[in-house]
Amino acid sequence: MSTPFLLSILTLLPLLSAALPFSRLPRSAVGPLATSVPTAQLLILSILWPEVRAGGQLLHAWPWLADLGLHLGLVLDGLSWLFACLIAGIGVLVFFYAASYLHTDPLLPRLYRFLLLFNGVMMGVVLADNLILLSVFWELTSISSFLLIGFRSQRPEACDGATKALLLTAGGGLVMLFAILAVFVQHGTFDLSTLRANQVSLSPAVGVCFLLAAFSKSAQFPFHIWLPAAMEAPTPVSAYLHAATMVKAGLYLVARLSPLFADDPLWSTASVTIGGVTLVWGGVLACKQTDLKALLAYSTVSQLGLILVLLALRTPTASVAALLHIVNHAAFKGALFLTAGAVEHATGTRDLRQLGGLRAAMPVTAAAAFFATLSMAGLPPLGGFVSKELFYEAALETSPWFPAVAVAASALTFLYSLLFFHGVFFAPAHTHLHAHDTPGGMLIPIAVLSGCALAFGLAPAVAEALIAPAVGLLSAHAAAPHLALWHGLTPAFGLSLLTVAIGGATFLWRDVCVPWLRGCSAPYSFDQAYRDGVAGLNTFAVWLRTRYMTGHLTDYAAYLMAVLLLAAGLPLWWFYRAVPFTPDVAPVEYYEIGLAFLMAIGALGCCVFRARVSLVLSLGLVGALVSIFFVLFSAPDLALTQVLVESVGLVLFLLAFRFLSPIARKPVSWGKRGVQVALSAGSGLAVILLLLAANIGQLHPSVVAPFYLANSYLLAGGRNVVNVIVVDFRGYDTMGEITVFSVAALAVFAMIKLGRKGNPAPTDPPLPILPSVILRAIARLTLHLMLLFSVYLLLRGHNAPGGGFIAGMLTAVAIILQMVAFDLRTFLQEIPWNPLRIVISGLAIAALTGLGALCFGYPFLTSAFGHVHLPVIGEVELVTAVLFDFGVYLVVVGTTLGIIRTIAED
Amino acid sequence: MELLMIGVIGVLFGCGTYLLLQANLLQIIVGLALFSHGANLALMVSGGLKRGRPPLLTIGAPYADPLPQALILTAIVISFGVTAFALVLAFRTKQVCGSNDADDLAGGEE
Repeated sequence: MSTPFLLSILTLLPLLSAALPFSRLPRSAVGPLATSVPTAQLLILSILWPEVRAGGQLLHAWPWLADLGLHLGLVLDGLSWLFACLIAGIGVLVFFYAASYLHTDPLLPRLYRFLLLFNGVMMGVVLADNLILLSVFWELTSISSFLLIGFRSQRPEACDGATKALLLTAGGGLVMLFAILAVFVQHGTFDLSTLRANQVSLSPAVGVCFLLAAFSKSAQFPFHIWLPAAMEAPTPVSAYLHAATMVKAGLYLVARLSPLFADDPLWSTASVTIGGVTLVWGGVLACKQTDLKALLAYSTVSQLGLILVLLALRTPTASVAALLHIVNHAAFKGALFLTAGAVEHATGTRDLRQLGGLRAAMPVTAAAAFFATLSMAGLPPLGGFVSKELFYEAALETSPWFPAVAVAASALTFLYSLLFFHGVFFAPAHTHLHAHDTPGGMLIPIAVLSGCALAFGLAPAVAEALIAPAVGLLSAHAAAPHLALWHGLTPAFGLSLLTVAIGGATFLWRDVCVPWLRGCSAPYSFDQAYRDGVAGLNTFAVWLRTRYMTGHLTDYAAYLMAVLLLAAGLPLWWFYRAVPFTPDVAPVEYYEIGLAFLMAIGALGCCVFRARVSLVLSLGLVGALVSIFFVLFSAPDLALTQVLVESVGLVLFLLAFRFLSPIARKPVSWGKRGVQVALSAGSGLAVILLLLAANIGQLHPSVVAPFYLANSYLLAGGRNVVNVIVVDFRGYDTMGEITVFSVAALAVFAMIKLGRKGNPAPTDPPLPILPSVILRAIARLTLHLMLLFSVYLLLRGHNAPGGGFIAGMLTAVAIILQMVAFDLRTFLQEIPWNPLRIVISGLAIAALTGLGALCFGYPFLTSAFGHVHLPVIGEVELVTAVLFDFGVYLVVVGTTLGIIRTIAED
Repeated sequence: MELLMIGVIGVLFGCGTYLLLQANLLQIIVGLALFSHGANLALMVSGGLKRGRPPLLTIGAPYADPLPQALILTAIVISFGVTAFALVLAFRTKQVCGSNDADDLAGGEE
C-alpha cells in the first residue's frame, strides 16, 4: 500500500467509521468494532516507523482549491508520529475500557461515534501540513470535545462545562485563524513544510496569536478554568481527550512552530512565564481538591505547564525532557484517570472525603495505580523519575532561581500524588463503601498504562525509541538522547532528594496543610471572571436587542436599506473614485430638460402627496413621461407598451384603493424622518454612481447589438429587431416571462377567490356605475376598432412596432373600457369567458410552437418562416414566431383581464 | 442627455426608497413602481441614447441598440404583473388584518 494512502487512511478511517450505524449493531459488537479502528492506526504507524526513524518526512498533498494555494497536505515526521502514536495507542486502551465502563448505558454507541470523530480529527491536527487544514481540524477537536463533555446533556453542569470549553478553545482557534491568514499574507503559503524549508521567521504578533490558541487549548493559565469543568465528561473521555491527547494539541502547536520563531524572544519568554505560572498554580489547586477527577484535572493543568516550559527553553536537554514527559504523562495520567473511573464505577463516588481503604476491596487496581502514582510523583524506577531528572538538569542549565520553582512544583506534584493514592486506597473510610474489584475489561487498560509507566523507567530505551525522531525537529543542536534511569550523584539527583523531603514532610503534616489550603479562597477567581463575562455579554445582547428591535416594520426596512447601501454603495464609491467621467453622448434639447424635470417632480410628488388619488396620478405622470422618453429615443415598441400598461395600471390602482386604508398622517419623529431622507438620498446617489460607472462601457460599443441587427432578417425573417429578439432570439426568456406573468394572474385569482371561502360575499355594488352616456357610446364605437387594430399590431409586430405584448395590452384596454362604461353584470353576460382559460391556451400555444421545432429536429423554440403578401396589411411572414407571439398575446390578454376582473368582481 | 437622465434615475430611486420606508402598503407599492421605472430608464441609458433611429430594419442604419429595448419590453409587462400582485396582497392584508399600515402588522411579543 502506498504511503499517501496510508496517511489519508489514518484520519479518514475513524471519520468514516464514525458514520457506521452503531446503534443498529448488537451491543457486544460495538466496542470491538470501534476499538479495531485505533488498532489499525497503530498498525499503520508501525508500518511507517522505519521511514520515520530514518529521519524521513512523509509528505503528500492532494490538490484542493489550488488557485487559492490550498492543498490537503498531510505530513508524517518524528513529531507527528509521536503524537499519532499517543492518539492511536491511548485510543485502543480507552475504547476498550469504555465498553466495560458504560456496558449498561444505552448511549454507548453515541459515545463511540463521538470518540471516533475525535480520534479522526485529532489525527488530522497532528498530520496536517496545511495551516488551514490544521485550523479546521483544530476547531473540530474543540467541537468533538464539546460533544463529549456535554455527553450527559441532561446535567446542567455538563452543559456549562461543554460551553465553557468550547468558548475558550474555539475562541483560541479563531485567533489562530487570524495568525494563519497573516502568515499567508506575509509569506504566500499555507504549507508548514514550505515555511520550514524557507526557514522563515514569523513576526512576534503572529506568534502571540498562535500562543493564545495553544494556551487556550492546553489549558494554560488563565484559560485553565475549562479543564476542571470538562471533568463532567465520562471518565474514558477525560483520560483520552483531557489528559493524553487533545490538551496536548497546544503543546504540539508550540513544538511544531518553535523553529519558525527561533529569533523571537517573546515566544519563549511568554511560554516560559505562562507555563511556569500554570505549573505552580495548577499544583497548588490540585492539592486543594476533594474530587478525584478535579485533582487529576488540576494536576494535568500543572503538568501541561511543565511541558510548555520545557518546550520553550529550547535547550537540547529541555527538548528531550519535554517529549519524554509528554509520553510519560500520557501513560501515568491515563492510568490514573481510568483508575478514578474504576473507583467511581465500584463505589459510586469520587469524593476523597468519603473514599478510603479500598486496597482490600480492589487490590489489583491498587497495585496498578501504585506504579502510575509513583511515576507522577517522580520516584524511581518509574518513567516520571527520568523525565523529572531531565527537567532538573534543564532548570539548572538556565537561571539560578529556576531550580527553586522546579523543586516547589515537583514537591506539590509529590504531595498530590500521595494524597490521591493514599486517600483512595489507604486512608480510613469515612462511610461504608460497597466496593468490588474492577472488571477485567477496565483493569487491562489500567494495567497496560501502568506497565508502560514502569517500562519507561526500567528500560528508558523504549521511550527513547519513541521520541528520538522527534527530538531533531525541536532543536537543531540536539544529539540523539541517551536516557538512563541512574545518572549518578548529580545536582539533579540532589534536587530530587530535596523534593521528596519537602513533599514527604508536607504529606506527613497533611492534616494541617490540606485543610488550611482548602480553607483559602480567593475573593475573585478566573472562573468567576468567565461567568461574569458571559453574563455581561448576555445582558449586553438583550440590551442591544431591545434597542433595535422596535417592533416597527418601517424601522427594519430602514436597517435593510442601510446595510444594502453600505455593502453595495461604499465599494461603488471606491470604484468610482478611480475612473474618469463619461462624456455626454447625446446632446440635450430644451424640451428634454423639461421632460426630465417633470419626471423628477412626479417622483417627488409621490413622496409628498398623502391623498391616494394624487399619489396614483403622480405615479401616472412619471409613467406617461417615461413613454414620451421612449418615443423620443427610438423605442416605439416600448412607448406603446408603456402607454397601454399605464392605462391598465391606473384602472387597477383606482379599482384597488377603494379597499385600501387611507395614508395616515402619523406623527413621525424628526430623527426617523431624517434617517429616511438620508437613506433615500444615499440610495439615489448610489444608483447615480453605479450608472456613471456602468456607462464607461459605452466607450466600447456593444458586441451583441450588431449581431442582432445583422441577423434579424436573415435568420428570423423580421425587421422589427426588438420584437424578433423577444419572440425568437430570446424566446426562451419570453416563454419563462409569460409563465411568470400568468402565475401572477393565478396568484391574484387564488388570493381573492380562495380567500373569500367562508366569508360572506361583499354586498356593496361591484363597480360604481358611471352614468355617462357619452362614455358608453364611445366604448361601443371603439371596441371593434380597437380589437381590429390590435390584430393588426399583432400581425405586423415582426416588422414594425407591435407584437404580442402590445396587441394583448390593447385588447385588454378595449375590454376594460367596456367594463368601466357598462355595469359589470351586463358585461359578464356579454363576455362570459373565463380569463384563466385564455391564459392557459396562450401558454399552450406558445409551448407547442416551441415544441414543434423539436419535431423537425431543431432545438426548442427554433422558428421557421416564409413570406406572403396580403392586401391592406402588406407583407406578412408565415413565421412560426408569429404563432408564438399569438400565444404571448393570449397570455397577456387573459392575465390582464383576469387580474382586473377578479378585483372588480370582489 | 445621458448625464441628465442618470440624475433623474437617481431621483426616481431616491423617491422609491423613501416610499419603501413608509408604513402604508400603497406607498410601498408606488415605491416599487418607481423602482421599475428607474430600472427601465437605466437600461435604456446604458444602451446609449439615439434620437429617431428605432431598430426597424426598414429605415436603414444606424440604429439604436435593440437589446435593452427587448429587455425593457418584458420588464414593463412583468412589473405590471408584480404591481397587480402587490396590490392584491395589500388588499387581502386589509381584509385579513384590518390595516394597510406596516407598523400595525408587526407581530411578536407585544
